[in-house]
Amino acid sequence: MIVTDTTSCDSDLLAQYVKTYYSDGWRMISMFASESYPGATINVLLRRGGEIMRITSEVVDSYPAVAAQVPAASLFERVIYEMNDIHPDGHGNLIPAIYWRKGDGHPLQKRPYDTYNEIRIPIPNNPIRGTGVYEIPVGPVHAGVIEPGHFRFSAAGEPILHLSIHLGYNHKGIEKMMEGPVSKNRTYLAERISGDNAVAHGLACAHIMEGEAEIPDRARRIRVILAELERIHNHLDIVAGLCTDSAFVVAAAYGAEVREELLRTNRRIFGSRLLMGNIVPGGVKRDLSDGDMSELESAVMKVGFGAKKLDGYIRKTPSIVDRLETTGILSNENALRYETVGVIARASGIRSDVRAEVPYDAYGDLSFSLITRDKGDVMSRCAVRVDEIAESVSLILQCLAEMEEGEIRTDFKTPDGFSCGLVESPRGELVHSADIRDGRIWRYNIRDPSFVNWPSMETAVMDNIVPDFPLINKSFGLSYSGNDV
Amino acid sequence: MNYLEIALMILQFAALILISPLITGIIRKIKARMQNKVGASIFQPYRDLHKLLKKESVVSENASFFFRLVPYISMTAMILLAAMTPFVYGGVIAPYSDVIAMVYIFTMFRFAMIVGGLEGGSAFGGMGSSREVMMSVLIEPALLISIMTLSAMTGVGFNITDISGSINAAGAAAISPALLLAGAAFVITMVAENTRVPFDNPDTHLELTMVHEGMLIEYSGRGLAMMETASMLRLTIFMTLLGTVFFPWGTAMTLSIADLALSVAVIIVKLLVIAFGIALLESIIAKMRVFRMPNMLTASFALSLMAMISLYVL
Repeated sequence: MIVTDTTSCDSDLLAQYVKTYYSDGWRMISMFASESYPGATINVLLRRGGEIMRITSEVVDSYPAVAAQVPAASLFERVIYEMNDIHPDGHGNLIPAIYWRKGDGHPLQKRPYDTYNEIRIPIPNNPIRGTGVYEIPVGPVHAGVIEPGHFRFSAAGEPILHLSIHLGYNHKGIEKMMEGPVSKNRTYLAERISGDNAVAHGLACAHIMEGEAEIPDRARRIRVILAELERIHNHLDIVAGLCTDSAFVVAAAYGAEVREELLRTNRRIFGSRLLMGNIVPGGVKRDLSDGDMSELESAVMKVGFGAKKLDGYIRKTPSIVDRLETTGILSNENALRYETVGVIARASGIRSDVRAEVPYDAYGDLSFSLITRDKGDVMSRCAVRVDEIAESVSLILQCLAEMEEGEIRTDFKTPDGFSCGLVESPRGELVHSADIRDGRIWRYNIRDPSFVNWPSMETAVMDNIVPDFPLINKSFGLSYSGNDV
Repeated sequence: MNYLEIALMILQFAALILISPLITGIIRKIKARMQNKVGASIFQPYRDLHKLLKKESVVSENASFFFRLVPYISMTAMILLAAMTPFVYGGVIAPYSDVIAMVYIFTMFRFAMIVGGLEGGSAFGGMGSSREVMMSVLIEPALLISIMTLSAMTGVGFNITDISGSINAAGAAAISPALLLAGAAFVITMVAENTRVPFDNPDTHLELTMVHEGMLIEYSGRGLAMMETASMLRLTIFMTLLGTVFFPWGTAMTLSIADLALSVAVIIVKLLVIAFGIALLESIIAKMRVFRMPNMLTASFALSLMAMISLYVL
């Protein structure tokens, strides 16, 4: 997807520029530095509906922080400072984004750096003091098999007074690995950014690599099927996980069973339980036979019924409804202020969905409704997910019904210049962007929806009790790996 | 008391201790079947304990000598209680099987566990302990009053053997609002005291929600095996008390072979029914919010109080 408009400005004016666009209804979707050695270019990507705007600004080693004017930039500037050693002056909150990194260099700089000095950054204490206030450090190693992340609660008794989330233990350097000649197949690597969102990341990467190439209709429909299958298994996992976390074991077991059936169907038809290896630039890897299509049709219909039954289990049991309702409320104002995306934003009453706003692949030809709720509690997020499963089932059935014979892959040429790929991953708006110079990817930026959604959890847990945190965390369903890339 | 009787009482005391992991295994099996899962063998808890006993015990450097003492205190408390509990035969080996002593030996176990949870110096142990204290403050009066109701109802004093024998001898005539209300209160305290759903999730390993598991989090190896055994034993003792003190019909009062055989069959059925009830309860409801627990426990206290009042009013 080529950016619709590009502006450049002096680094002193960058913050003012972004702020002006903000007052005009634009919203920041990504921000990163692309190093030119010496100096660098700060790229700010803004989106308003279907339009995408890129603001560039040349900097040397520091510039006035955009975060001072637009708080949404704060997170991105922390990463820029850590990765490229470009200091945003007047930022005010430059705490590390990656808590355990190899070497004391700045990984995304183009000059070589020492990788042998492992440094471990101590985690700061919460700023809250008082009688009876204590800190609970949790993680990065957890009791269950989940990803690493450190949570630091300040609590007085059970109610949470403050939470700070420290991530970055999963930093893999994928952005750096993405650099190199464009001829290399990158979707394989992109799928591994966050394994449960393999299709979404693969698609975003493919959109960049394909440039303006016309993708065959059949491939576009298969892509939608893959993306929606992924949405279903992610949502089912989270709804079943909510039941597990509140010890509602029978529904949890049922949800896990429905999901497992779907994953096995994925394995049979697409060769991978999590649908990896199916998206390639220019199309898809595997065609669907008629037999596959009918199998898929009955499988997704079964999943649709299963999800409805699971929802019934939850709604008809007062004890679990009591746990889910009014827990972890993210108000509409906070959801807007933190610029949340995806399911979390929709559960707080924000109508945003990349599939509807910037249609990609076959989404423009298909009809689906945008699911929203307005309470913003755990129950709303659960309900949005359940309803989205039904929408996904309908999308897959539409694709299967109108599938035409034809090619599934086409030739493509990756154009030089700047391009970005937007995808609605099961977690929300996913942005990949690449700066391609002379047939080489010079800088590749990945912005997972988790990256912008994590901070909103710090406000959603306020005034809740410590034992409800696992439920809130599960209902957000964010990726650690995608955040840390 | 002849030698045969003493031998029998020692035998039932040993049997009670030995079957406790089996009871836990059965509850887990029933729960697994209700979730459409195959489930582990009902003998799995024995294997787990055997495995733990072979393992090294790691102790936090912040812990004092009391940390190592806690498993022994817990086991002692539970073995004492096992000796006081009528099982197949109405008599018990312990000479002073006083109901008030029983309630406070349970409290001793809980106290040891709470201190053990704090000893490790980890945040989760402390959280588990603080929640346990909140619950125990409410469990204790309910438990005490529900058992005292029986004592007042039968008028035979505080000896558990006498209470059990008296209700047993009265037969169907003993069924009264007081007994049923006290029984209901006891069931709620049983679920709460043994930290089952909806008060706590015995299978969870979510650090932030644990109560019982939170207090055991620093234990390993032999210490953990002893704490686990004590917990399983506690559940079994509670179930047995429900079966032989609150609803004792069928428990043998004489030494005749026929009576004893019947008693064995009856207690097996009772334990299975209670195990099924616990598994069913855990399957159909979700864990409640921490702040809702006091409401439920207060209900239990109110039930036991009503039982006591109904003795004098009705």
